[in-house]
Amino acid sequence: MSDWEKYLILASSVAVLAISFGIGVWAQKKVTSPEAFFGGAKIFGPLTVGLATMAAVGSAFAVVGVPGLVYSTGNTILLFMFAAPGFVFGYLVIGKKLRALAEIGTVASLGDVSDLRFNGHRGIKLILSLMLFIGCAMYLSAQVEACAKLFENLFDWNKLIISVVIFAILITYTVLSGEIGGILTQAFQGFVIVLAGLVFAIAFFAVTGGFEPVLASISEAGNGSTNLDPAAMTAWGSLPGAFAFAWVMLPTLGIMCQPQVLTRIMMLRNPRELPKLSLYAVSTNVITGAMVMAIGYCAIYLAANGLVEIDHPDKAVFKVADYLGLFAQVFVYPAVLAAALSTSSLFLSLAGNIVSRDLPGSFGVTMNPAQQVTVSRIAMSVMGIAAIGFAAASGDMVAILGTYGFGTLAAATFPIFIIGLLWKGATSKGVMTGMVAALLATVGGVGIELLNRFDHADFTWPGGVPWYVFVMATAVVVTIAASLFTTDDELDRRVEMAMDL
Amino acid sequence: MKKGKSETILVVISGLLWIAMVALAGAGHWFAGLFALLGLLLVYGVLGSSHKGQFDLKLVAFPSLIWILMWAAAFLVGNHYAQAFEGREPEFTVFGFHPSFAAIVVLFWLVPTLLMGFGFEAVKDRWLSRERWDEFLKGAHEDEKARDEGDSS
Repeated sequence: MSDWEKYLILASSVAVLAISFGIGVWAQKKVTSPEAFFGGAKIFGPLTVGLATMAAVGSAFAVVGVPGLVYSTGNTILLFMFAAPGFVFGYLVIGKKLRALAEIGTVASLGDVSDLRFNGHRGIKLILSLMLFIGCAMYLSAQVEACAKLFENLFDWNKLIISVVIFAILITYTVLSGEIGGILTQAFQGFVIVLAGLVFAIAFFAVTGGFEPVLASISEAGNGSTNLDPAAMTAWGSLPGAFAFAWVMLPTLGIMCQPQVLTRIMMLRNPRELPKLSLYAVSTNVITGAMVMAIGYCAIYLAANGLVEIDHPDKAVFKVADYLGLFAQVFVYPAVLAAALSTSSLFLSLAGNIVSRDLPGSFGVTMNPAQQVTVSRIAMSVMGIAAIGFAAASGDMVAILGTYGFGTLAAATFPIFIIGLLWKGATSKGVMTGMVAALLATVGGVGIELLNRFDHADFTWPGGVPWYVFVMATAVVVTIAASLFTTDDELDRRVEMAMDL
Repeated sequence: MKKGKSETILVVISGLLWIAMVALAGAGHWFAGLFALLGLLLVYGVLGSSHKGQFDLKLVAFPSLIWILMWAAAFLVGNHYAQAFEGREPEFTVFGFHPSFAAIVVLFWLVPTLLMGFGFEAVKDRWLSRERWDEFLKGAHEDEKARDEGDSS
């Protein structure tokens, strides 16, 4: 690849960064109140929210990790990407109830919703804040790592400097405009991902001639060049069946309680537009799914035919883009950056909300709105810098932690926002007990995984099922059981009305 | 006694389904675990349709139940062809895909996504009519006003 081609690809990525920065700075004008800064502005239409939700859900893991997994293990991970109907189901089941709560009092964060539903129970808010914070840290570090790797393929640049530059720009615009800028930049970044998806889907057919040649190339090439067995192309892929189960279950049940989805529902201007929002979110999600499948399949086809060499699955997306040429590269590199930026800005804002509003609130400390904004800005900056440091110090471990984030967040939010909104009998004592169980199970699960990873233990989870499935189940079952044996809370009449919608 | 007896029974069933799902998967019966998941989705669908304690089963039937049935078909067909062509090349393809994965593409991904996306839009008024939303806003604001007046007196 010539130097000017490399710099053109770099320019396309820098353009995404510059436009995101510009939108963030412009959006500062729309931050008319501290509530708006924290996400309490119900001013956005379904297209903006739909694109922003898809972009925030589709992290760098989706664009880099998933094609790599398709290349190395076949279709299993596509079950995770294809569970798009679960998106709509989540909106259908809890969307209007959650959005209705946002009409009651000042609701800008998930902690505010928890306060309303559970009468300001500090323990629930504290554990929710802690678990969300752990999930944010896991996600953010993984995004930093993805950004650092982005240009590694093109330039021999220092990874730390790359991540510092990218994250400095991200932190600046997020700090300036909060959630208002966050949602607008994420919508733009979602558009970039969709554009890349369309380009890649077309490129896939141009290169391979369709899906059949991919299937044939695996059979003809054998195991040598692609490491794939014929089972990789079946419904369940070549990983053990437990992964197929987990990767259907996790997005289907987990997506409806992910902070990326919940916080965005509250920012929609009219709840009757939720069906439109879901249509935009899933149609763009389908394009992203098609893109990652196309990249993964392209990688299999090219490697099987000896056209490219892929030494690490995470490099599959870049190797395929490089093979396809400049036109694909100027879309793919910005798409990876857009995916990392959108998820990072959401989790930075979430971390800021936790530190400035939810965590102090759980200790009974109150700050005035202006102080909250200042503390939030400081918290976002510190969190961003800490994520860069952690990613630099931990190396490959952050990628592992990134995959844990989804399960941790689901375990934290499912008892409060799904069981809590669907069942008036979910008591604050019951949910508190479920949250404590979730926190302990998460710490235990992550601990065991890390011990296994560093060869200090050799623990196998029953049936080979990933640990976070057990954590989610523990949180849910303990919440239900404890609620059954404790007395119902006195609900605010308006909260009852919202739950009755 | 818990508020909402029917809701409580459904939530208890959901808890049992969670246990069954994870126990099945943990015992190596992950495929059966997928069907427990479908049962769980149905329960949440029914709970989500509740309006003042009444379940709207028509709203559950379309689009959620049809989606759940499609997923059941996707799992069964996908698994059937995965086993039928285990360890060898499939004898035929569907749209160029392994027939096992084609079931996933069609019945798990594309058709149910379209069904749920457009289906939700189609039942929008049944799900949340303008009148119901306005009634909620009016009630919530009246309640808030009454509180404010109570506080000031």
